[in-house]
Amino acid sequence: MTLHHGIDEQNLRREPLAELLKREAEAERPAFSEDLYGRILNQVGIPGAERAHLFSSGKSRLSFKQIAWVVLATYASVVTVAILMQVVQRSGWFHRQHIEVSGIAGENLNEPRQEKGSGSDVNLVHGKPPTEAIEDLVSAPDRTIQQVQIALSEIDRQRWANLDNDLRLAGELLHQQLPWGVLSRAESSQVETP
Amino acid sequence: MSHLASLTSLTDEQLAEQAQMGCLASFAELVRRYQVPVLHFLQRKCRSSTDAEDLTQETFLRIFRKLSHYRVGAPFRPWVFTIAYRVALNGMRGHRYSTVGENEKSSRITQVDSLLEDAEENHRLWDAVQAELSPIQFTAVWLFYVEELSIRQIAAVIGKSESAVKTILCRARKVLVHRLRAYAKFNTLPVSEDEAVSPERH
Repeated sequence: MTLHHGIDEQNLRREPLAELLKREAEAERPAFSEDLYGRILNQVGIPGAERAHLFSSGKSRLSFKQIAWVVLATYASVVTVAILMQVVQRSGWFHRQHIEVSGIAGENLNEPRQEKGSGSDVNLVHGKPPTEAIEDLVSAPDRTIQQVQIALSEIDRQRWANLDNDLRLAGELLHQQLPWGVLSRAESSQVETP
Repeated sequence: MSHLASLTSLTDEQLAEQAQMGCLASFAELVRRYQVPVLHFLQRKCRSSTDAEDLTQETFLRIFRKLSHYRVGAPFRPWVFTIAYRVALNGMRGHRYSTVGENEKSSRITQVDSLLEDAEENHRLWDAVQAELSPIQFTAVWLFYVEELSIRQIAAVIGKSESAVKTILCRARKVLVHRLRAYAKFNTLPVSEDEAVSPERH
């Protein structure tokens, strides 16, 4: 940048006068004052006790806004975990039903359960190779979820008009889903995983 | 790397941006960096060190309160000195502090000649400069030579046009060179082409 009469700003900074003035200013420069520093930070709301934490190992004092975001994120995480736990719990509950469903492949849930220890029940498990049994186990959850969803939607549709009947249906469903026979057969069977 | 070490590696503008978002540690680091330059500048504006410290405190308090006004990415140094300069002016107008007025030279300086005589030994050259120049000339010279602000930045700080700042600097420089060269200690200061052709033009 050119100043008046052809004097260049950059050259102005490099001339001896500039060096002299800069050197003299440096010589009279005041020292850093911790006392003044503390007073300034106190005045803007950073008291001494908190200042110590500003520069502690890897930690920085969070602003109110940042703290609020952290609290919100924590709350959202807790809620998410709770929901996931509920879902997992339900899935696990369904999975226990699926073990029985895989054993009675496609059997209508509304049909009365066969008595424990009956011959046909024993054949359902013992009659299948291990790999096929495992495949049934893996695919059973989806079938069971669909069946339960159908039942629940039916219950929900008729809930106000048919509450007692719904309760009875729910009870029967629960009774049918409990894997009494499968659990005992699983313990005594010799199904081997590949 | 500790948090302090990471802060010291940031630029002033980065620290200002973080401070604007509420990071107190960043603001504290800015205070650490600018306390001495601001205090030094205000010591030249005030008649006492105590008043200079008070004005320094007030400057940083205003900086803290006006952080939302800082334009992220803009040079931070001129912004600091703009606030410091206005704090000094307000202190003078409000008579709260004993500052050097805009229409008077420093009352501390009685004889420029005697100051220049021992300026080199006693480091009082700037006292002589301040005695020789008007307050606004002195501010422009200080910001240009000591804080190394550009012409445009100085114009923003003191509220003048760039052309006016150029004129101020040119005249101040000529006065200083002319005065200082009269003394043996400073007679090695070179003469510019402009002065060689017409030293008395200004």
